[in-house]
Amino acid sequence: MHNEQKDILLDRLSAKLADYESTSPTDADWNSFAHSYNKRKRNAIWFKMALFLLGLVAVFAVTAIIFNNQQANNGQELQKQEAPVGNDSKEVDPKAPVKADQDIQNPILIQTKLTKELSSDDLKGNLLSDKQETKSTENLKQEKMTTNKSVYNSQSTNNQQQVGDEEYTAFNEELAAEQQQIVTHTQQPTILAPHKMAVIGYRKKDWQPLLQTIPIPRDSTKYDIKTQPKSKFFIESGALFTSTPHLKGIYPSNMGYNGLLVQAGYRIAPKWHIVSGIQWGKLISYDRYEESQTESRTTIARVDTTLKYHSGYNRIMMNIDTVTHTTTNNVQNSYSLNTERVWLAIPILAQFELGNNKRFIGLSAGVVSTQISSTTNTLVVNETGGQQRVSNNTKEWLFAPTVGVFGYHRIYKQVGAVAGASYLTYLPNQLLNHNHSFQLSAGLRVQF
Amino acid sequence: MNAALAEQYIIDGCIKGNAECQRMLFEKLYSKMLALCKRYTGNTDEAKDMLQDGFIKVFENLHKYRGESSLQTWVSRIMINNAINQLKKNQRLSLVSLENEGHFDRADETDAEAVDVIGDLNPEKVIELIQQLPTGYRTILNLYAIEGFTHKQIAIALGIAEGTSKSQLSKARQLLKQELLNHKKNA
Repeated sequence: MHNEQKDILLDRLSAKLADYESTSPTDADWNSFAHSYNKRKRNAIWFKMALFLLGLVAVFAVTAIIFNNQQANNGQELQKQEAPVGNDSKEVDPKAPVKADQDIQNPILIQTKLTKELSSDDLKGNLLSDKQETKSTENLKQEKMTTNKSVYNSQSTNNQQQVGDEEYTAFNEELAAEQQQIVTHTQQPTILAPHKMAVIGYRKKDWQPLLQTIPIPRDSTKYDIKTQPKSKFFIESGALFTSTPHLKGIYPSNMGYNGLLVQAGYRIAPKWHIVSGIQWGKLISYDRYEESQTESRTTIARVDTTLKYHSGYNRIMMNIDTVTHTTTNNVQNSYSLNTERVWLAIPILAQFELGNNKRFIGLSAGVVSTQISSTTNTLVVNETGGQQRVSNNTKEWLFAPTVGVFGYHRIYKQVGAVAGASYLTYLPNQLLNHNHSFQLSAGLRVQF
Repeated sequence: MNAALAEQYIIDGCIKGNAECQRMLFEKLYSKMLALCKRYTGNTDEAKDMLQDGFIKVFENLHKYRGESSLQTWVSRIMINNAINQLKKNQRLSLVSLENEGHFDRADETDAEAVDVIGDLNPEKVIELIQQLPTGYRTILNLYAIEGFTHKQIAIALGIAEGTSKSQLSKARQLLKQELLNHKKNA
């Protein structure tokens, strides 16, 4: 109580209002509150999801930066290791005069250098800068000098010059063959290190896609990106969020489920993989505050088995999944209504993966056929006044086209990050209020 | 089921997200909390908005309720804090100390007349008169006279000087008394 002097006016005011109750709530008051409360809950979920995605992006960005730094360091190490004997310089400058054997290893350097040389009036000092230049280079120089001389001078070429012409022609053909190997469509090749280059595009020879940093071997015909997975076994684990479609007449409505994903893959034959896993999650539900409003707390266990066939280089795969998706919507209200549903989904997907064992990005598209078996139990009053449990079973088939994108990026040795997103929409049906569903997942993969 | 058990059942249900229990709690405390919110706002619509926001906070924090006070007291405290925060957020609490103005309202012979008017009026009409007070006066009058806060507690809650609380209460008292007397005159 107050220590201040007693105030009769304020005391009377307090007595009048302290226990006063205003008007009672109407249904409209409750519905209005329920609406804003649900909206707030949904917003909170979306906010958490947005934070999760931002975190995911940040993790990938950091991983990519670390990976690129490692690549750059590896490139420098490689330079040091492969520096010609007797060369004291610690780092190789791509603009510096390059020895002939290095030229042959790197078509880009060859092209750059040759273009510069051919456009120069003064051919002295370029190829002669190194005393250990090869005979073929000497011939090249002489040939170029000859080209720039008058017809009179060209008539005086001797047999040695003739040998040089042949070598130069052979060299040119070799260079042209090298150049034809790579046609970049979106980006010019970037030299990361003397023996590495980043390529996004196609290999012209057989129109194979390229998306990676590749070593440039001495023998240009050995451009080989090993697409077939070396690992025999992998295990993946991570978090996922799946939004679920809304079933008509079910309150509260399910918004989706957060959960964990664990799956394992095994290469049963060179081109065949079997992937199996489980998803476990808690339903996120929100009440719609209808007359039949009830509580629903459900866990989802989902078993997913996929048989994958790698058709070859492009990894076009056909997936045949059987998904036993058991959702038990225990909806209980004053009428003791109870509905259980079992989802059996059979997705048939075509997948396309671009990349290699270190990292790849993939797209998938297909159709998911889903059978939903519903069992509704109700209590009815019988003639004797007692209650009797009545069950009603129905089966519905739903079809949904789906698309997805997924990726893998090796982080360290056999450990890599995986992430994926997919979307599906059910074709018009009588069972669902809301036909859309999407899934986000992220985790780690360990390969053995 | 006795009242305490019933209340515990409702609380547990609300924590689990049971809509039925949430509705029961909402209906149980609605009238009282609406009256509280009306005292802090200028009109009923504003009070209802404040009430909704307060109930959302109640449901979000109900798991923190330890039973050290009655549920109604705990909810009231959340509603009061919510009211203060909203008024602060909307920058409607312009509290200026009147200490230097030297015109503190003192109890005098007109007090008895005003007290009689309060006795004659129904509570809803008294709330209407309080709603006509400026926000700062109204808030401090409510906190001091009805919620039982001391000036020190008010000063901490609103982030003002204790003297400011005293002077605002004095001004609020003076204005309210004037309104009560005017009401009697016009009646």
